This record gives sequence, structure tokens and C-alpha cells, in this order.
Amino acid sequence: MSSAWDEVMAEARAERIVVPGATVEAVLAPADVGALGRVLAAANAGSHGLLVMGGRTRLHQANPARPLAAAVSLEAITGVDEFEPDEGVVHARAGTPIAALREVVAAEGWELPLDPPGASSTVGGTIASAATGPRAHAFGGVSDAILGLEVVGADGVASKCGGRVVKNVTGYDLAKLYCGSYGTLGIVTGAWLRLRPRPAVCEAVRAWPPSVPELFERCRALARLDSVRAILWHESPGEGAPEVVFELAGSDAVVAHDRERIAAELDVDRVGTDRVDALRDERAIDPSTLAPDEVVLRARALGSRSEALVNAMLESGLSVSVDLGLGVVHARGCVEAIAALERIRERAISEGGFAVVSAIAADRVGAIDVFGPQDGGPALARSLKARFDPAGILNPGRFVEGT
Amino acid sequence: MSVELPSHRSPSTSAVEASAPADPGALRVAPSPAFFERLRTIVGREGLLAREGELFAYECDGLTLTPKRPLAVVLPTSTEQVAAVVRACREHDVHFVPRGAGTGLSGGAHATEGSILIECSRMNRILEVDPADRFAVVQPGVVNAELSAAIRQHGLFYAPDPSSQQACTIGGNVAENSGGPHTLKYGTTTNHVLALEVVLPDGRVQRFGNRLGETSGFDWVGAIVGSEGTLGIVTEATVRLTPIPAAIETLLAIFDDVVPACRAVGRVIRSGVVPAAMEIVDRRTIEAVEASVYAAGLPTTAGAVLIVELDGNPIGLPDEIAAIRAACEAEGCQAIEVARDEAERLRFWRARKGAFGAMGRLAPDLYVHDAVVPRVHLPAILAKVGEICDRHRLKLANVFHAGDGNLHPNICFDRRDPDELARVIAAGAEILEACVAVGGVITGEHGVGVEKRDYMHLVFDADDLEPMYRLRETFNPDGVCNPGKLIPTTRFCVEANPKARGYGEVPIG
Amino acid sequence: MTPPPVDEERPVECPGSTPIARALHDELYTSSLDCVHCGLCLTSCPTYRATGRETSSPRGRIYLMRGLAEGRLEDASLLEEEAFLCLGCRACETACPSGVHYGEMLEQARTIVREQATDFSAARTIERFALRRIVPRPGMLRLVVSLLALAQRTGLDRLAARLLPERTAGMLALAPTVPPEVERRCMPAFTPAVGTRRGRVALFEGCVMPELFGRVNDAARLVLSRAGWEVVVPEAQGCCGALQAHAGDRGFARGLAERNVDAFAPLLEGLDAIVVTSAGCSAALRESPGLVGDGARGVATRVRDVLEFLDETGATLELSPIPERVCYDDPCHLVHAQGIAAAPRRLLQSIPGLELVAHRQPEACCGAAGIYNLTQPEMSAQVLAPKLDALIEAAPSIVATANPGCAMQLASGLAGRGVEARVVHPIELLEAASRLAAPSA
Repeated sequence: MSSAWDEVMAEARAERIVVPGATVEAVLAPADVGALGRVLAAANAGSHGLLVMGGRTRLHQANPARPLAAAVSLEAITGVDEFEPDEGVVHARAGTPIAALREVVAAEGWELPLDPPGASSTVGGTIASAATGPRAHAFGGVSDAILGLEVVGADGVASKCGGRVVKNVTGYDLAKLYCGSYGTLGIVTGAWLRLRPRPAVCEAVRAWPPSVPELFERCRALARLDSVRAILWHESPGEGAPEVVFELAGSDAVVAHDRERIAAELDVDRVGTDRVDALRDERAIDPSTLAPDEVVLRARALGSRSEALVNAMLESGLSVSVDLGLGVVHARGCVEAIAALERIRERAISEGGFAVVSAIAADRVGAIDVFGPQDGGPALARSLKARFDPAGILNPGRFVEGT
Repeated sequence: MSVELPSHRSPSTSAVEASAPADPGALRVAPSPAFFERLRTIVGREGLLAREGELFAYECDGLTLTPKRPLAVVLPTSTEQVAAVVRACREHDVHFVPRGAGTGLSGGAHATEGSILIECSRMNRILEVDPADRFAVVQPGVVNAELSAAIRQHGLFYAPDPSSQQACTIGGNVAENSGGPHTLKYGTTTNHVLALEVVLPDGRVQRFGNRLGETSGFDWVGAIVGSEGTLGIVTEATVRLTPIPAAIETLLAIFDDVVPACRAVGRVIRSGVVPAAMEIVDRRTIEAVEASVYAAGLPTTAGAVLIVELDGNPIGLPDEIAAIRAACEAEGCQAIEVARDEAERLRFWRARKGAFGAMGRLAPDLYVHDAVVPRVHLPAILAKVGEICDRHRLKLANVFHAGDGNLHPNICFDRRDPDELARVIAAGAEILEACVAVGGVITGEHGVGVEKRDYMHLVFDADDLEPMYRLRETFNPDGVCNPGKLIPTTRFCVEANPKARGYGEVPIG
Repeated sequence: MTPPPVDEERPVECPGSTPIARALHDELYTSSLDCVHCGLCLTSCPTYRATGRETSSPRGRIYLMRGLAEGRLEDASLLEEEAFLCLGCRACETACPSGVHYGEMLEQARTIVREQATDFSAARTIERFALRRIVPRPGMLRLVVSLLALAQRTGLDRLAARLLPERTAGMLALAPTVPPEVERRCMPAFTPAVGTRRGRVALFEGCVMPELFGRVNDAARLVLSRAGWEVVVPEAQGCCGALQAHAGDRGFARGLAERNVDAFAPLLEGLDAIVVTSAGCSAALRESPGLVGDGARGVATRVRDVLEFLDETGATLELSPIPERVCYDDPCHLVHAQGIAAAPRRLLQSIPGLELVAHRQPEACCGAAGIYNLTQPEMSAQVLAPKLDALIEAAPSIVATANPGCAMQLASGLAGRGVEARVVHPIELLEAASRLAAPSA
């Protein structure tokens, strides 16, 4: 039995990776889906826990892992297999960097509707973590872009779900389940993605709003303009004036119209759309840079109640980076007591949303559940996990409810 | 040395060797009178239907093939009643099948052997509308179009608009992940469901999701939408509401043939314009419509009609209209008109919406197929579908969601003619195979149900189906809830032949 | 690619063995096949809305008819109940994409069920007696109405309401106040056109209309003549037979229809229209070829509802203001059976000062449905309730509707809710407005 695993491990390279609750010393980078299947089959047979990783942007956004034997990197399973410019769909392998895929499709007039924070994000990692950015305002969630997935299960068996067509109800919508499940049900190896036409015009403007209440008041109407696809606002207590950036995309006429509407409400100046990218990527935190009692949260509240949530965070001394219109709040700062952190989460839940701990200093790992309470409780999550990964080899312990 | 790639495929199972799937309820014992008494206690005398005529009327939904009479029909009025009925079923070992308005076209709401129907038509209240955060909380029996009518005063509508929207219910839409002509821009039901309350197959009531449509864990809501009532019974849904677009423009382009019309669709997709809808009606349908009470005044020279609807900011629409015009003219359309008013807009749509009825009058039965292909393959697949139906001597017409690549070949037939019925089924299988061969799938919006369950193997092999079984077993481990739908009942009958589905049992009138 | 040859329609053997099955098969099986079971009719059906039951929907009822005809369903008792629970409002025909003739199939099914019925209950016997022996006989009807008037004048009706069983008392409550004798007078056989003569029309009087709504017929006569039409009222005409057909007595209804065809056919030369003030009657007359055969076609194609006729001939009436808030409520037999919805509204809006207010439920059945409010009082009240809610919400001073049964039902329903709005026929408002403006005819 163990010989298969030994054979697999013989291919591993030595590399140290530290994640919450565990340190891994060996990285496996299977060359293709077949090799990945063999890795998983061997790990499954011997119940060896694996860390699953793509661009490593959100590896630290996890509960403490149970013992890990190695990391599996999707770095070698990469590339754009099929791209149909006449169809507006693309197939990319999991390890393909988002930035590279974005360029490939842009050359033919298409836009990839994925906008995860972090320059090294990959297709697979973005799907596994369902990571969205400020442009989710127009793009929607990650699963909205997924037409079909290829997955290798914990037992090493490759399967697919969905397809390459833009409308499909053939079978259960498993892609929804895989998306955002952090690789705990299976490892995504490739995806058919739906593209959007590249807008004729894409530009950004920024303003310094007079006050938080006025900002929310004015943006309520501005968020509904056709061409507005991101409104990103950030404020750090004690650090200069808060800045709000609008990204507009669409036809000349509509963008010009909407730009004027914004200018009628706020004093704006033009700025490059890379400002939106920069602010988005600031949200991808390297946990080693955190102070001992510093935390990073991603919280979300119902649109009409996001102002209350933001105020609560500002009052707690956190700096915030907010997607107005989505009600998404990225908060960072020092929180001395875990109980205070729990209170912020409760506040987000009471405002109709949730709060995920994106990063926390190493010595406080495990002190708070990263994902918070779940619908269906531990029983349902564990029941699902037990059916997809009975030996518990995929990211064990790292996701919700100990899965 | 290498480890052999694992597989769930059972190597000895072939199409020839596979036996018919055992109906899980085939040998079930009839429930005791105490069971019906219990149901009556839960839903009241008015809420339980069990007379012969009542069971007969509930033997099918929008799919009239494969009828099956239920043991009883219950009409609960609350979540508690649904849960109590489910628990009663469990205690008496009776299966149950949820049903909305019974407009589905894949038999998802057909009873199975030894099952009762739980019909949600009496749970039809809109519980909450929040215009600020744009969501509504509704019971499953709320009718799709009536939700939109109720929220129009807020400048909002519920975007998924299946053709049956005047009758179909939100609960049924959630089960089937229903689409409609405007999914091209707005997406299907799954893009508009935020949260659900579900009576699980064990009788517990569980809520999933929130009013944001994003949670911090597994996307249970995403998994349940489109699960065809096999994971539980939705008793409440929180849905997203969409602002009514500021302006709508509808264009009607007339082509000599369906092929250039499809190519024009391709050009529109390439142009970067995203219309709200792009629908094609072919020559045979035009002939049927124009000969009916739905006549839209289309010229007899029309070989295909393309309807394009644009919506959004009125400032942007003139450029989009120009782009559509250019795309159609580049494919040599005979004429292109832009609706001048609402009356004309409705006239344009009449050709599309009257098709089903006009076709329905040509023969006693109508089989509306539903398959999807990559849009670039539309011209070739239409020719292929035509060839298949000609070869089987069947009367065919096509109306379809061209923008989505979603075909709806309509085949007129008379099920009392066993030979014709056999040809319809054979042609249907060939159409599905042809669509899958070019990268398509077997259903885009009608669902798998019982109709296409045994064609799932065309798209998915045993390895692909395995995770689907795992999902189903998580919620419905003993298969009591809507058994035999969506995926083959047991893991080993994937390649069973269509006869096993009971088409042979269709009563010949 | 040429379309394949279409098979000729095959004759179908009837496997049903009971007399009901055979009769259903012969009468309506072919029509039942037009239904593709799509279900789009469900939400248009008042009884489905009230019960949520497939069996109480048009699709369900057709499926029962078809199943019995095919011999796949044995027990006809449910169809017997459901056929009479149906209001016959035909809203489903408006909703149906396949153009199924539900109304006709329903009457056929009711007739078969009644003919084959073994149960001759007292209620059914009385109903049949009333519809055969009283309604179509002007003398008998006049006698009954006179007795009712007497009871109302003496207060005997209120006494009876306390003494009689609930159901019978409910019937009395629905009865409108019998108008004074002067409104029940016979109409002149000929009324000349006022001003330039545009042509000639015949007025169809109906059975109940002259007795209880004589003022409506008279208003129609006056407005038509003011609009330039000379109006004849043929004496040989009689009851249209709609109530009898709806009740499953198509054989008797056929006789009545034939009599009207005989009455009007000789007058067709030089006649521009046969004008009717009751939506139920105009629908029945238009559809009489289905009952009588093609011989009725000449008469049927000439039939017009009075509002439809005035609208399509572009009546130029001088109208003085009527400053009232008016809700128009569509009778099912006008909007669903004849597709007339815009004409009444246009005419009402032509009256200066009149504010036409929309309400939420204009096309929903009021539950009157001929004599349905007498035979199925509970369901009738359930069907009426949402319409009353909608009307009360719209708060009109006048409710206008174009059918006598609906007018009685709405008046009684509104009165029951303590609402004071008057219920009138739109032609009465047109008459009042044109009387004030023009010299009388």
C-alpha cells in the first residue's frame, strides 16, 4: 500500500510552506490530470493529508489544518486549452494565472469576469476560494462565470460537471458546490468560463467624499448607474482623507452620461483604472506582515445596512476598504480580544451578512473559527465531506465546521 | 511503475448487458388506511385528494408521456404541514414528490411507484418585499408572473421568465433552475435565488443562504437550485429583484433561411452587444403561426425570423440598434424593423410566443425538446435536426433561444400511433446525440426529470455521475424524495436503454 | 429540405365502455386533443385559484373528459362535480396558447353528464324546471318577477329571509329590486334615427333583461337612434338559451337558438347589426352555429354587443359631462368569450367629466356566471371576494358592467360590504350624457 505513496513522494520537491496549524516540507506538482489522480489515489489509500494550492494568495485564509503530509500544487497543470472568440467562452487549466488568461481573452475583445485580489491568483485558486473583487458589482460571483468544471476527487477519479455551453441544467449544479469549498470536496483541474464583451470604454474617477453618511447617501443612487462596475472606498483612521474610486465601463455615450452624474454629486478627477487594481490587491495580505494582535476581515452586510457595519468597524479602530453597492467590507487593524472580534462578526450577521477572518497572526490561529457559523451546522457539512472525501485528505480541517 | 488511473466505470457493464433499472418502489406495499388518516389530520379534508379521478388528473405534468398515478395528493398550506407530511411518509415508508403548478416539461413532478404528490399551489403568499435591498420572500406556490406584477409598483421585476411564467411557480422554477428568453442577459433562476427554506427528506426544516446571496461556506443554495426536488422540498424562497430597464427596444429581422439568421446571432455576440434576448423562429413555425389565430403578419417569403430585444439606458441603445442592424444586414436579411410602440413589440413577440400553441393544434401531442449547443454550431445542428426528423417522417418546427444556443425542436405527433411514438423517441435520441457530439448538452432549461434521465450517459460517464450521487445521498440517503429523477436510480443502470423508462407503458388511446 | 408528408388524421376507436365515455368520445374527444397540457390556463381559472386543485382547473377538467373518453378513467363522478363547479367564465380561453374551445366542451360535458345522470335531485329538477319553463317564457317570467316585486314591496322577502333555509334566503338576497312597472314596458317595434340616418339595427331584448333591466335596453335603443340608427325590435325573438346551455341542457338551448335564427334571418337584408346589451346573450348568439349548425351563420356574424357596435361605427354623440368616478368591470362573456375590452372603456372615456378608474381585478370572474351564484353559493362568494376588495380599493362612485348577471352579483356584493357605489350598464351612462346634450328622440 505505502509503496504507491512512496513513489508519489519520490517526485516531491523540498519546500517549506507554513499555513495555519501546520507546516509542510514537500511539494508535489503533478504534470497533468493523470498524475494528479495518481497522487490523490495514493494519498487516499494511505490517508495522507494534503494541502491544495494554486497561486498561494489565500492559503492562510483557513482554520488550523489537521496533519499534512505534503502540498499539491496545480502550477504544472496550466494553460489555455480552448478559446472560442466567436463564442465568448474559454477553457483554462487550474494553474493558469488569472492575469495571463485575462490577456489572452482581451486580445480577441473579451473580458474575463473574475477579479480576485492578489496578482498571483490562479483560475483554480479563484474558483476554490470564490474570491471576488470590487468589480463583482458588475461581474457577479465567481460561480456566475463558471460553465463547467473538471475535478479530481479525493479518490483520484477525474470527473466533470456542467459543460461548455452558456445555459445548462443537465445534472446537479456541482460547480456551485466546488466553487468556494476550498478544495475540500475535490481539486478543480480546469474550467470552462463565460466571458463578457470588452467594453468600448473603461475609465475611473475618484473623489474625496465629505463624510461617511454623505458618501453612502450619494452612492446609493450612483451604484445603480448602468456603467458603474466598481465603487471602492477606503479609509484608515488618522491617515489622510478617505478616497472613493468609481470604475465605469460601457459605450462612450453611457459612460459619459454616468461620469456627469457622478460629477454632479462629487468633485471628481480622472484616475487610471489601475488604481482600482492596486486598491484591490492591497486586500491580499501577507500574514507575516501582521502585528501580533492584528486581524484582517472580509465581511458583508445587506446594502442598506452596510453603513452601520462600516461604522462599527471604524469605531473599533479598524481601517476599511469597502465595495459600496456590494456591501463588502475588508477591514484590518488591531483587535486585542477575540471576544471583540466575535462581536464584530455578530454585528455582520445581524446586518444580514457574515464575516470571514482572512488573516490572523500566527499565535492566535485557532482562537476563532475563520468562517463562522454555517447553515445546516456541522452535521450537514461533515456529511457532505464524508461522502466526497471519506479519508479526509483534502485540506483537512481547514474549511468550515472542521471539514 | 505506475499506478493505474482509478475509475468508477464498471467495465463489464455495456448497453446490451445492462438490465432495466429496478424501480425502487416496484415491489412496494400499499400504505395502510392509517397513513391516509394521518395525512387528513395534517392537511385537512380539503387538502387530501385520493379519489380515482383526482389521482388520474395528477398522473402527469407538462410532459404527458410516462404518466403515473400517485397514491394521493396533498395540498399543504404551511411549512409545518409539509414537514409533517414528510415525516408521515417516512414512518409509513411512502415516497413523496414535490409539485408546483405542473407545467414542467421533463416529468420532474410525475409521481413514481408508491409515492404521493406534495403540491404547493396553496402556499402562494408573497411574505415580504424589500425594494431598498431588492429582494422578496415568497412561498413556493407564488406564480412567477404574479411576483413581477406585485413588485412593478417599486420599479422592479423578477428576471427569470420561462414561457410558462403566467402559470408556473417560483418553487418549480427553483427546482428546475428555469430559464426563459431573457436569460441571455439576466441569467437563469440560480442567479436570482438568495436563500431557501427547505423541508429536508428526513422531515427537518432547514434554512440556507441569506439575503445577500453569498455565504461564508458551502453554496448550499446553489446546489439545491436545479436539483429537481430530489434534495428536499422548498417551502420558502428569497429571490433577487431586478430594476425594470429604463428603455426597451425590440427588433425583428426577416431572413431567407435559418442559417444566415444564426450567423447574424454569431455576429451580434462577436460585436460586444449583449441583448436581453435573441430568439429565432424558423420557416415551419412561421407557417404554422401565420395559419393560426396568432398570425403576426409575417411575409410568406420569410424563412426565419430573428427577434432581438435590447434594454438599458436609452442613451446607449441607438448604438446597439445600429450594431444589430449591421450584423443582420451583413447576413443579407430581407428586412429589419424596430418596434415603434408597445403594440408592435407585442406583435413581434407573437410570432415567438404563439409558436407553441400554433404547433400544438397540428396534432394531438407535441414534444418540445430542449438541448443546447455552442452557438457557433447552430446552423449545422439545425440542418442535422431537420434531417433526423425528415428521415423519421416527423413534423418538426424550431423556435429557439438562439442567443443561448438553446434549441427547442417541436415535434408534432399522436401518441396513440405506436409507430409514430417510437419514431418520435428515436428521433429525440438522435437529436440529443447530435447536440452532444458538438459539445452541447441534453437540457438547457426543461430539466432532466424522467424524460432525459437515461440520456444522462450521453453527457456524463459513471465517473462524472458519482459526485452527483454523493450530493444526493447527503440530503436524501434513502431516496425517498422524488426518486428516480435527474440521475439514474442506482449507479449501475447508466446505459440502460430508453425502453426501460416505460415508454412502452404509455397507454394507447 | 422539404417538409415530410403529414399523415391524414386517423379515425380513433373509443375504448370507453360506459354511456358517458361513449358520449364524451363522440361529442368532444377530438376537441380535447387540442389541449397540450401546458397548464398556462391554471392561474386564469377562478376555481383553481380558490382551491389549488388540478381537478378544479380547465386543464384538469379536460383531462378528466379525455380520460373518460379513452376509457382510462372509469369513475365519472368527479367530472360531474367539477363540470358544475366551473363558472364557465372562459378566462382560460384567453390564456390558452392552443386556442382550445373550452366553453363549448364544458357545455357538451355538462349536457352529457346531465343526460346520463342517475341522480335526479330536487335542486336539479327545480333548476331545470326554472330554466325550461320560466326563463324562456315571457309570461311566466313576468309573473315570477311580479310576485318578487310584490314580496319586495310588502317586506315579505325580508321575512322570508329569516324563515327560509340559508341557501334559499341567499338566493333572495341576490335578487335585485324589481324596477317600477314603467321600466318593464314593451319597447316600440320601430324607432327612427335622429338626424342623418346611418342605417338600421335590430335590438335583441333577451329574457331577463326586459323584466329586470328594461332601462338598459331602452337606453340602448335611445343611444342608437341618437347615433343615427333606426332601431327595430322584432317580436318573434326570445330567450337566447345561454343559461340552459351552460347548465347542460344543450338540446333545449338548441330549440331556443333556432327560434332566434328564425326570428332574425328574414330581417338580415338591409340590417347593419343585431345589437345586444347582455354580454352573455351576445356571446351565445355569436356561437349559435356550434349549436344549430351553419344555417345560423348569417345571423351570428351580424351580432354585435351594443358597446362594440357604437365603438366600431364611430358614434358621434354630443355628450354632456357626468362628473363621476367610474370603474369598468369586464364581463367574462364580453372579454373572454368575445375579446371585447377596449370598446367599453373608450366609450366611457368619451364622456366629459367622467373619470375612468382602473382596478386590479377587471377581468376576473365575479362569480355570478349565469345561475352559478345560486347553485354554488360558497364558491361564488369566494370568487367574488377579491374583486370586491379591488373595487373597494379603487373607490368608484359608479361601477359599470355590461351583463345583467354580473350587475346583480356586484350590486349585491357591494351592498353586502356596505359600499354605496351604483352598478350600471355603460350604455345607461351614455344615454344620460347624450340625453342631456341632445333633444330627445
